[in-house]
Amino acid sequence: MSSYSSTNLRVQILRDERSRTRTNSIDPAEAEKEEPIDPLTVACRARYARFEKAIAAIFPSRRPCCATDLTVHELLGIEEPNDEDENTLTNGVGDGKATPVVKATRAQEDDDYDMDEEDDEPAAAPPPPLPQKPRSPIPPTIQISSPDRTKSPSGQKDSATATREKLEADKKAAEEAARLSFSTMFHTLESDRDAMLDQQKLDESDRQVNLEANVQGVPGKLSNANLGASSLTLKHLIARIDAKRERVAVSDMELRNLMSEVKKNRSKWASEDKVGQEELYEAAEKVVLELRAQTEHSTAFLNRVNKREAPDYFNIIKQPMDLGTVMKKLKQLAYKSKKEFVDDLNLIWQNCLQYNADPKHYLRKHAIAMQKMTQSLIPLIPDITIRDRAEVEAEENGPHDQDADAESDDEPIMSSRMNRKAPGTSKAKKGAKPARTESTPEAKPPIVNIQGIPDIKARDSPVPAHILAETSGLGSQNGFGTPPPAHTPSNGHISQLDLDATLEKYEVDDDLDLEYKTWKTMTKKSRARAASERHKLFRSGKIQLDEPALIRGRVGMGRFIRSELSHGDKDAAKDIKAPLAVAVEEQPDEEDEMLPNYYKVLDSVPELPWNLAWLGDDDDEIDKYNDTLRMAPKGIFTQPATGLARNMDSNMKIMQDTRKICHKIGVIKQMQVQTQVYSNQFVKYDPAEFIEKEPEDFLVSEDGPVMSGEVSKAAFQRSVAKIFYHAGFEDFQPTAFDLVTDIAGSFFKKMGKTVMLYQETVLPTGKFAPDEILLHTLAENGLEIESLESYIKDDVERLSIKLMQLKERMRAYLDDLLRPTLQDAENPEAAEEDMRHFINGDFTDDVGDDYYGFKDLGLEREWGMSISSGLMRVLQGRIANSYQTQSASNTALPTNEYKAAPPFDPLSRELLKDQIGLVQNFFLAKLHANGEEPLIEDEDLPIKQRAPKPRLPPSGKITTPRKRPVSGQGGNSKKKKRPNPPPPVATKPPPGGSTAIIAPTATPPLSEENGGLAPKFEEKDIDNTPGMMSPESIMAV
Amino acid sequence: MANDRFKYKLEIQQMMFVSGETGEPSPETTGIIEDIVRGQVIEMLIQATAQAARRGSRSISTDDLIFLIRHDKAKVSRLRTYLSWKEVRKTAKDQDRDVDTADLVDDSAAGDALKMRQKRAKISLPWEVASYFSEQPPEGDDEDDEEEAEANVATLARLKSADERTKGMTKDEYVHFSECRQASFTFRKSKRFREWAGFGLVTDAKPNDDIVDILGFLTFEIVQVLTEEALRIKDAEDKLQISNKENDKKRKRDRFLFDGPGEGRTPVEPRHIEEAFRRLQRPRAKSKAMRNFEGGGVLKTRVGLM
Repeated sequence: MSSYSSTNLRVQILRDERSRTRTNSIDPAEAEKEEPIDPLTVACRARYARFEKAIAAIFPSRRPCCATDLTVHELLGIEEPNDEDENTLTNGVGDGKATPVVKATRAQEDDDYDMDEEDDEPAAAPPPPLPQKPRSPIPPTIQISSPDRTKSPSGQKDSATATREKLEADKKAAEEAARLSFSTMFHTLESDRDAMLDQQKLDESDRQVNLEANVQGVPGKLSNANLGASSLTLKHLIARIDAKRERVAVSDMELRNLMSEVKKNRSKWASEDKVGQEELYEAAEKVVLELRAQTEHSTAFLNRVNKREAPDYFNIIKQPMDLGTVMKKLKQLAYKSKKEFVDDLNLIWQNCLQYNADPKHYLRKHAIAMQKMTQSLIPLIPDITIRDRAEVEAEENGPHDQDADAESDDEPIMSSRMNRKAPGTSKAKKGAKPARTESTPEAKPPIVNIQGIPDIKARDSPVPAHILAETSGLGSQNGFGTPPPAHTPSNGHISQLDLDATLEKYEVDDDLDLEYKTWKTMTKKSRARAASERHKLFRSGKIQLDEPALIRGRVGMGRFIRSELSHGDKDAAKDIKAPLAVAVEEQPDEEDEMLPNYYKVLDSVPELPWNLAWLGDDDDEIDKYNDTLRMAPKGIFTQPATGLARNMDSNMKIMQDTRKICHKIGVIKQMQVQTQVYSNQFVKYDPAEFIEKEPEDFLVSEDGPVMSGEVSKAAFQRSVAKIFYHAGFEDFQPTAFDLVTDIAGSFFKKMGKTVMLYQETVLPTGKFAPDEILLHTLAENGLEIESLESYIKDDVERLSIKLMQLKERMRAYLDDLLRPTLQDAENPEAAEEDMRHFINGDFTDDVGDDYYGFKDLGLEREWGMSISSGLMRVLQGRIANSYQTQSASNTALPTNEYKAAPPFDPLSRELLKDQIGLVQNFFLAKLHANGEEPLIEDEDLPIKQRAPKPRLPPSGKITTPRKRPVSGQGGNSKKKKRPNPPPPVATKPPPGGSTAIIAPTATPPLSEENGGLAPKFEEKDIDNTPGMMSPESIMAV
Repeated sequence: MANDRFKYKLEIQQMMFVSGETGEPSPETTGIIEDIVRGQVIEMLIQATAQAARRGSRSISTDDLIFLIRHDKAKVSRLRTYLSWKEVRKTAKDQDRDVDTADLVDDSAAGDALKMRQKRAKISLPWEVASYFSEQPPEGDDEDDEEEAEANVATLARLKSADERTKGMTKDEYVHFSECRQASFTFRKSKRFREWAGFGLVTDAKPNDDIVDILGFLTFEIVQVLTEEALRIKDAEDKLQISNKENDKKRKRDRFLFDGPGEGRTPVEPRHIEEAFRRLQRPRAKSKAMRNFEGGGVLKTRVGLM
């Protein structure tokens, strides 16, 4: 917004330049004369230009035409004001000396907005070539511009008309002058609310008057109404409407208005029967409307005084009157002459002054102002007494000036078609003349003269004013003035005194800013409209979401484009499409134009500049523009992968790996203890790697830090979590985590504050250096460089070494646990073979399932073994383990010295002979049962023929008959050093329970795993494995 | 001060002697030190008990005590060494008994090996890296004792200074010195110590032996630190006095033939101890950092652990 208004100002300057040349061309002589003459003017002009440039520098614009090469500082340097200069400036402005530039601007404004108007200028009331800032209520320009008029009046009759015209012209000229200066003023919005409220009241009063008028004259016959001459031509239409009156849903007044519209020349007041009515009422209505429009003052007088508001009002005021009533009376055609009308008007103000006798009462000011206004307006009303046509005609039979009279019927004096010369209603004026002269003496209070204040006298003393009226536009209004009416003689005296006093004050008030006032009145309606629109959006103190959206209309678009064009923006001109071009050409209505740009925010918001443009295609995808919106750079909310952070990350990675190993160890330990394993017993432990996630892509439009509390907090939490993990916590409670985050946040805030403090501190020797600031900050917040360093050294770097070592050890430990498997894995076929001895068929392979979750554990990959065999090895490990614990005496023996026993020969009849006699019979029976075939070892049997596996009680403890021997050996287990008795290698395996004794011999001891010594399995013969399995099978027996 | 209140006069004197005080400190001085030490012990016990309660235990463990001084890495390291050697001694005693009863032949070799292995059995603390993981791998030989070595620097320095001091000693003096070094609040007087420190009031009356030992170790350290600080203060004071004397009364400084023997070093006085205590109790910036910009009243009023 601000930048835009600055561009507008720029526009002015540009126009300025152009217009200055223009004015020069128009009136070179004057311009030349002017410039050298006044050095002050030149100085001021230069100053003005500089200020304008300063504005442009402060609000830089991209537009080439508005660009400035000055920097603000430069300007400020230049601007170092010396007092003298300042004074001259203010004086200059005050005297109107500094205005040439401004004036030129005004002229240019006209040039831009109102071409035709300017064309009219020379013909009509040409705005002064050098309009000065008017210091008096009536712009002095009028005196200059209307010499032809002032000199004209010689007769009374002419003078009246002339006065009226002059008044009109004055007003118009004042407006014109004011309008020209509008663009140089900055208006505030403060009076808009009043304007809005006033306008509302006005509308309300209008409605009421209409309503009352309608209620009174309930749909009457249209033909009865006075439609003037129109009734003749529109006779049939009127008859028709009358016939269908009840079906026409409009009030009489409206109908009448319509009729008068149709018949151009006639006003709604026209009546054939009444002579002079049209003129009188036309003028009177204008006056009332005008008075009402003075909303600043008129508000209190619009409607009847309510008894509730002022209970005693009707005791004091016998004859209440208000503008609404006057209007009503007008509509009822209740006035017969100008005097009646004027009396009514004056009655209003007089009532007010009478009722509010306190000289300080605020309404008095308004009343006086209104009174003044009335007096200035009254001359506009032709002094006519309405008479019946018949009467007039009868009278007219005598005199000769019939024609003029007849003509005057058709000539509304105050109609909007003013430029038509009204010849004047001589008769009416003549008739009115005495009335006026009558009224004036009576109203003249002598006090005025006594007071003897010259300027007041000039305005108020009626007698000289009479004469003065013709020469000065000022006096005229008082010449017709009818001060206090007769019915308040007692009060008149006092009130006049007051009036004088207050008037003076009031005048001063007004003098201050006539332009502003004019602007206010002229733009009142538009401002009220704008304000009420605004008000709608912000009703009851908040944004009303349901209100329709603001849309830049056609006119607004035109205005916008025009202002764009004024920058000489060729692109903009090209872009304009056909319908818009029309809009551009269109001239907006004047009143709207009067409002400054900031009233029309929508039309004024310039094209979104630079990096804010939202360029999207149909799918609402945003095109990324290099210098507009762009994706935020990555890595704002993530840890930079440098230094400490990287070290910590790698530490955490090691920790994770180690934890994985730990998990495997745990699983294996569990499996060795447990006899049965469930597929879902071991939850897979596979922690994901720590990767800091970026927030989702987002757009930024500006440089500088991206501020986002939530995201920052989340990122901070993540960092805290990482530190937690780094400190060894695998998981943590969210509350603890939140708490630590908050504490850390507050700590960092304090650090930041400390840094700020040191940055802002200025020592006598200068500011702190950055590193000093840092050190101070650390010290203030209880951190020493040493402690930080030791943290990095001990808790990060050394930690990583420790972690590495621990990981290695952990891995070695896992290796140890898995050793048996690995050993076998080196000899896969044999291992496979063994497995088949153990179980018939690889069920896990068949199932194709990762039955025990080894895949999950990653063991398979790690050791390069198949699932099933892996399983078996681990199980073997378990069995071996349990066995070892039972026969611990074996363990210490270095086993590689002993050769593994050869597999037993299958028992046949021949071999049976060597056996001891006790078992011979038993085996003989067996052999016999087996059909004399050699007996197969239990473990070699196909799985179906084998004895069922032992059932385990829920405790998982194996309780077998073997308990006894174990307990027998138990005593030995404590003495590790004790050498084991050599196993009875030669013994043939007897079937049944005896195998138990043999088994240990066949089983290579699995080393003391718990001691951490790697068992030596390399030399071990795989053939031993069947022997190792035996305990299993034995248990079945 | 024939007061019963002070029970450790001799021990404290000995400790001070080891710490560098050559003179004989007055009973007032030792009394103050004893009070301070007792206050420190009680504070430690209170904090350790609170820590144990947080752990969910009613009795304190050695870890709780060590946790209190965890930031002083050197001290922790020394403590660990102390404890591990204590362990060694204990097992060695058992071993000795075993060995005595059994075979005397391979006493030296086996005993040495055993000792070495026992020494490896480090005291592990719950906040060390190993505790990060659920499984504990068996102890390996490849432990890197870099940290320990570093932490030992302080110990070594102390040993060295002690060595310097003892260099010029006669045999008797040295014996005295080494006797003094064995001074302890707790050694062989555990019961007295427990009563003195009010164990029954603060925590359970019958603490672990280790705890008493650790406290004995720590109390020694406290006395040492206090004495060293007090000596520094006294030195500064002496220097100042000498320079004052030089300035004020030049003549007094001159010594004459028949002057009595010069006064030796005066012992540390109570005010030095008090000043040392004050300095050691000064709140650290760390403990008030979070109060920056937020005002807040009195800083921590508890006794700071030394």
